[in-house]
Amino acid sequence: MISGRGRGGGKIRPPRRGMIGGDASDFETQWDILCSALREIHTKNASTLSFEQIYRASYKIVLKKQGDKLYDRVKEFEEQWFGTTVMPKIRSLITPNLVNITLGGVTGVTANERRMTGEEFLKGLKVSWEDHITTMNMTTDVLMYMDRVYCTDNRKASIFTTSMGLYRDHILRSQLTGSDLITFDILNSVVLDMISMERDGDVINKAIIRSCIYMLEGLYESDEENESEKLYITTFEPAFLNASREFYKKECATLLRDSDASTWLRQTKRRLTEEETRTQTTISMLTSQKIAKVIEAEMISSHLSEFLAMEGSGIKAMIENDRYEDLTLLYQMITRVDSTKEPLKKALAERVVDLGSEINKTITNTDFSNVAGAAEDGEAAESADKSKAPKQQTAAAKQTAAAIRWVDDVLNLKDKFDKMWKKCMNEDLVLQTALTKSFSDFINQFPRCSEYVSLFIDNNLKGGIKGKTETEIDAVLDKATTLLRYIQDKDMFERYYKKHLARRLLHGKSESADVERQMISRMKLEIGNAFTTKLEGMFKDMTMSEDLTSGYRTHIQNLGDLDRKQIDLGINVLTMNYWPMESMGGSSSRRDDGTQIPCTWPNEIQLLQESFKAFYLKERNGRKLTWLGFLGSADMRCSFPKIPGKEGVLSRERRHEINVPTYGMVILLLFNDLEVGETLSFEEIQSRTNIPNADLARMLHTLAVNPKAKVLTKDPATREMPKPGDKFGFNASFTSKAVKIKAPVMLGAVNRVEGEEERKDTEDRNDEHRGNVIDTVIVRIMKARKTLAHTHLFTEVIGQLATRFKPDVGMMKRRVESLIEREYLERVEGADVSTYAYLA
Amino acid sequence: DKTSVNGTMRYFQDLGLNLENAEIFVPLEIVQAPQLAELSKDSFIEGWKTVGADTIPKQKAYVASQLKQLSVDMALFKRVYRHAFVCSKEPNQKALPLENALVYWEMLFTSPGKPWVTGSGSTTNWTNLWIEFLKKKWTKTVNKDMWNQTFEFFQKTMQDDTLSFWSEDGAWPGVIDDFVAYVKQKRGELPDTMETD
Repeated sequence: MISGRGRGGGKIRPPRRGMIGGDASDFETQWDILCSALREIHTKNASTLSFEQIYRASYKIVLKKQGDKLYDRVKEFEEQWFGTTVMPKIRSLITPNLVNITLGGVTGVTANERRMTGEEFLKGLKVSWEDHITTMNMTTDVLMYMDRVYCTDNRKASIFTTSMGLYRDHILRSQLTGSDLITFDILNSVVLDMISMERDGDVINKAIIRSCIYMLEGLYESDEENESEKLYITTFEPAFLNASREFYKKECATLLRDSDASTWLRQTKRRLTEEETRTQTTISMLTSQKIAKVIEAEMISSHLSEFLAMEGSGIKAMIENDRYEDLTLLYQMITRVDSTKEPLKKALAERVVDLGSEINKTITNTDFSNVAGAAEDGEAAESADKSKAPKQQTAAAKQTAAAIRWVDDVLNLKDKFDKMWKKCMNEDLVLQTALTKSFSDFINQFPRCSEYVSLFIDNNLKGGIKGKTETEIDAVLDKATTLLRYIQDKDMFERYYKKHLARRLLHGKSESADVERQMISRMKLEIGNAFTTKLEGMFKDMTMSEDLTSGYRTHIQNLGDLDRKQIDLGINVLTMNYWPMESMGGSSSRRDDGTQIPCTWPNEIQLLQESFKAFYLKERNGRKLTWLGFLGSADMRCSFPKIPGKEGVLSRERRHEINVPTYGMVILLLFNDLEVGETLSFEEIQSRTNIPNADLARMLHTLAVNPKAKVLTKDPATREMPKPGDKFGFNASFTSKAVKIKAPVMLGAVNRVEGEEERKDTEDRNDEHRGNVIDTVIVRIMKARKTLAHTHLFTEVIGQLATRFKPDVGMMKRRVESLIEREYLERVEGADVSTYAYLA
Repeated sequence: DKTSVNGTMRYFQDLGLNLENAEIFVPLEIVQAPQLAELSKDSFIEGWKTVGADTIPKQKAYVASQLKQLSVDMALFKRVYRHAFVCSKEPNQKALPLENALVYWEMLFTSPGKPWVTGSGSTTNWTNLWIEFLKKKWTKTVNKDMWNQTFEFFQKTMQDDTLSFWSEDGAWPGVIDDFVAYVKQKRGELPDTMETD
């Protein structure tokens, strides 16, 4: 770009001579030379001129201290030139149409016509400007001595700068005849009109506009030439921004009325690119950010919420239909206008909670119908016994499937949003936080989330991971961990996890000990040591039990007492503290104080128990072993004699190996001592085994009603649940195709969703536990702080328990009251705010 | 060292007291009686010595003057109120049976005690509300904290019977929270969520 020349550079000063005294005639002579030279320069005839002669003329004048006169004369010359030669040409290009357009009336003229006349005008202006620059460069050259000496000494703007100002005042600000308009108005209006044509899709001559913009960037409001006072910035840009604002306001309103959010996003994006290109090719880069702001304000911010709410294309539809492109654009647009991304955050959070609550609702509804159905079946179907058990099973299985489905649905939702977040939202941290919170919110709204997540893990560890690669297993564990992170009531989760883990371990249902350990170490990382020590303890018990079993076997072999009918013992020794005894079954054999009602073991078993106990206690003095009859199972060899007079299978002796629960074994051994045809009554069996009635009835149902392992007879021979008064005998005519038979277990061995009552038990136990935990935490805090205001205490308790569960305020209050009653705390008398004091 | 039931009663009659209302609690507080009908010698002498009344007529006069103050001097009323709990429970118990507590509340919160009523023309009879509420909803005994906090609540309501001082984040015992809900519901300030009986 051409800028003022003749400024700067070293100063060459002539020696001062005393003789210099100006005389007028001499000045005029020299000026004549200069003046005619200037005329030649302006008419592009400079090639004939002698630079030395002209330079000398100006040199002489300045030397004679007549620089001011010369300066003024040059200015006058320029002004005259503009007035007589340049302006008339430009004026001739300003057609009445152009004036009309500038005044706001564009009717009756086609775009094409407007473009033609406009271009002519711009071209004329451009030519005049370029001529001006050329002539002024040459003028500066010949007047170099004046610039260097006179202008510098007198602090005058160089003649170049001054002439630029003259161009501004005499060309651009020249008033048009018969109106208030100046050339500049026409210029702005023509350029804006062309840009508006281009926005409407026409092709315009960008280069010509660009030239005129260059000119405006080279001109300033004053001769000081402040960068911020470029005419481009002071005059053109505001007009451009205003016009653009109007345009985009209208465009956005039209889009809002006629289009959908998707079109709006694309159009806005297009406009942003377009304007950016425009600043590069047509106007100035100086405007790049400002015009972007205009679009952001008019196209994005102004109607954002309306577009987001659009039915069928708004954010709801975008999320529903995975419209990644739309969402990406939306994210980009919102990021432009709002660094907090509040509108997007809110919309996403709402969607997550909505969709999540839907998942919750679906499951809750399914659940209720099933539970109700199962309960009714159970009560009403005493007579239709056959259908009862399987039906209950399926109801439970269905519920468990529903639980797994809930988890799957939640995970799918999570996947969906994760994918969206990665693909469209640039993994934005602010949005991630919002999403996490929303997930946590709806998951914790679902009362059974802890149970279901644990069941999900149970399901996978039981066989779901069978045949999966390590990576796939990792993915499953990742999912489980993610869910776990969301769960607020970690204590509830721990309760269920222990329960489910216990079943997996004791019934040998766990698919891989390695994966079990991986899961535990993940939980350790996520929740902490305290959470997993008991779980790890359970594993330790299992390993220890394996060693014990094999150790005991070797021990027996070494005794060499081979005569005895040997019972092979596989044992699990469980540390009381680690295992969730209350949820491992056997509740009917527990007294109110929680101790076990021991079952009366058959002699053979008692001997075995004694022998094991001796072996076990040899190295572990002082421990107490309790035998839990409701757990475990036994393989029994039974032989059924041939029955005289019968054909087929019954005519041969049949041997079967039957796997029955431990209680089953205790019952069956009673029948060894019976004579043929002798029976035992329900009551007799009960008194000889001490098995609780409910368990006994269930076990007898398995052994005397269910056809699969019907090794006993029942009198009356109905399908009803065995009850006191019934009589049982050895079923000599039992047949089965299989040699090894597994007696079906009615309930208990499978992890499934808890029924309402069981659920309530679990919650009560958990609440009780929470009460103790809250007590402990309150006492610990108060012991350290001695006195503490009510609100502070509560905040601190909630804070300390946050990783485990969210304490209920009512419960906390009750704990405080109870601590006051037990004289751990007292209320501080006369305190401004309610305060407690610790009583040591 | 201790008086018998009959002796105590006769002594109170000598002081000219009505044993059926709050009057009885005034001398009980002065002599820091461990039991309603049992005065201990040490605290009896100590108590009267402090107020400088060594003869029955003097004591009678002193009690009479205190009685006049009872419904005005809140510090005095609070002392009497608090001691009422101490001497009316069984010595080895930590709490009062509800029915007893209800009787004592009624005695203390009516003249010559401080009537627990607010509003011009005594529109809200808190004593009645409190007793009615407890009879309906409270099944447990009354411990010291509940007894003392009831007094705090009584004082607050006397200053502001709109209950605006109450907040669910406050440190009131649960029973007071429930009572507030009960009163608000009665006043129609809460949606009727409980069963109406």
